[in-house]
Amino acid sequence: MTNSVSGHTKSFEAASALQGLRVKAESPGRRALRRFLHHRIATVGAIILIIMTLSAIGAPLISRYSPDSIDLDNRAAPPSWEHWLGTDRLGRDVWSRTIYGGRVSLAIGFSAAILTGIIGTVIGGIAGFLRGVVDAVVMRIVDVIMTIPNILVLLILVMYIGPGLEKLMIILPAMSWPGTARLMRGQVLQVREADYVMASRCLGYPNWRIMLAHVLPNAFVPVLVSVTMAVGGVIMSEAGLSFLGLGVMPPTSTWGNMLNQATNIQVLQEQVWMWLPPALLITLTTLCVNFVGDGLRDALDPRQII
Amino acid sequence: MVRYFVRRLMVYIPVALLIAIIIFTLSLAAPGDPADWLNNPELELTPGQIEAIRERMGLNDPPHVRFIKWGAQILQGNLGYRLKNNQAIGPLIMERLSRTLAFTGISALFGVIVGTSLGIYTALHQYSWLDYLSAAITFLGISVPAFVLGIAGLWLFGLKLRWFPVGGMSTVGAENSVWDFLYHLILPASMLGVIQVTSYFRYMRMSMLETLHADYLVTARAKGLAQRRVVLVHAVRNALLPLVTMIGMRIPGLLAGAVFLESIFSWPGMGLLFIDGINSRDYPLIMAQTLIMATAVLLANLLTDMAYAIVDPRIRLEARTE
Repeated sequence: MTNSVSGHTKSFEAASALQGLRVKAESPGRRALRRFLHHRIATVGAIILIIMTLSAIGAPLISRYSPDSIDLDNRAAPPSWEHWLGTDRLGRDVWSRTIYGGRVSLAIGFSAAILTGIIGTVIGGIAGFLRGVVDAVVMRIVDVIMTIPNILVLLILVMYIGPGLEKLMIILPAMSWPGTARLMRGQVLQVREADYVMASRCLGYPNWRIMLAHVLPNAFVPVLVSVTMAVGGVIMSEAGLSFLGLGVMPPTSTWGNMLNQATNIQVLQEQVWMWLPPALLITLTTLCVNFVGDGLRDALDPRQII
Repeated sequence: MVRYFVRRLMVYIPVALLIAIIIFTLSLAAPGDPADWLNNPELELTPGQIEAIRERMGLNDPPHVRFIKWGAQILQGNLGYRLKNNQAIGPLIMERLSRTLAFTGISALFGVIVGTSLGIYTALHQYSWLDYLSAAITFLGISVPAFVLGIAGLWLFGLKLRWFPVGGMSTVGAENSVWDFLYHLILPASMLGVIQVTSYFRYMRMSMLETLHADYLVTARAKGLAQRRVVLVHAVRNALLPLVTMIGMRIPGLLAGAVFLESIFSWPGMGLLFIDGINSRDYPLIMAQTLIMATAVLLANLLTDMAYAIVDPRIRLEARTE
């Protein structure tokens, strides 16, 4: 009786071929995508975000007027066929300003969140892996920045560095990196106890190689989710700063500084079209980002078997 | 218990010291020379006299000496003077802080009470209409920024419905009335409170759902205790534990929300003072306020840790066995 391996393999293939099956493993990326799409709310959120990003990129295609062009005859006009969302007090088309403002807000949101992710991951990873003095110093700095309320850190940085779009790209990540760093450090602390890390060390691999090849891929998932959620946080922070007049300065429109007009009681009460669109859009964006973050967390969870 | 307190203190004191050092370094880095505040073109001071003033103000001392002098000043209660009108910062902060504490305190109380009650109820009655409604409102509550909610609330309740005043702390002629104060406080405090409710609701519900599966509840029911007592006394008490730490963690968020809402509702508290300071580049004021707020956050964290130790005896015992 021959029970050779080749004999078994042949009969296995024969059986599969008979049933028309193809045996092919699912890649992790495809599995994550499938699990994400299973999450209906997250998918809807992702679709809305994609629509928003496309309209931000194609802003000139969907707005008739330039956001800066002043039409003095039609100041503070309510919505009409001419101006879809009306005009503001200087006669600028609110629809255009909202779309172009979305461009700025979304761009800041994505880039600042990515910067936060990079800075936080690097610092947190190094601190978690090296431990000792480096870890202690970094963690104390993280504690300090996280103790002072977010807004105060932002406002103090604005006071020293100044307002404006380019400076905001430095200020916003400077406030958010401690959160990501702390998260990454926690993950690294867990991963570095694993056996394969010890094996790598025994084999003599240098620290940087162990970090890049083993620690980073395994510690990455919660950080990715956190960075996704950070997009919402950054958009809210930028809107808040611009609302206070300390973020992006006019005439560049962002959702935040359009909301600034609502501090005027007359605008607030009678000219709702000037502040309601940006308010709704900020809320919608943050909502969608939160949904997508939830979906990502479930999709990338290594403990779920499906 | 005392040992646990001392151990927590050992963690917080270095952070407090580091914050003080950073704040002091920032104030040194501020543009402008403090001696200029005493100067005035009419006085026509010679450079030698200006040097003498700087010497007397202690501006030529090395940084660590200046830090120690500044620290001693703070501990004696002298927080410096505003750049704008030379007003003493200490009493100003005391006045504003009490108003902000009233504001944030009531919001936090509202948030905790309503949030935890809703959380307990929906955990017990899952899939009811209230459960779905609360879940929907929760997601909104997390996504709406504090100031957008403030603007919307101001528009709806202040202007459209005219239920509440549109801002400020008191109406002319009724400055000392407590009712008037509360009347002005309701709208801003509820807006901040609604945001708090969503977080507490989510956590309480999660915590409650986990606790309901515990073995000791099975034991309690097997003992013959009434369901109501089992739930209210045993389950809720244990589910409340994580919430104690949550309250401490939410305090920086409370202060942040207060900054925006005070601006929208013109509530004269710490937040409005901070924005005022930023706009007029009033460095002494900003530094003093940051110091006070950071200290408040650290104190709140310490109190939360102590409360957690009181509520959960396991924490105390863990510390003792280490």
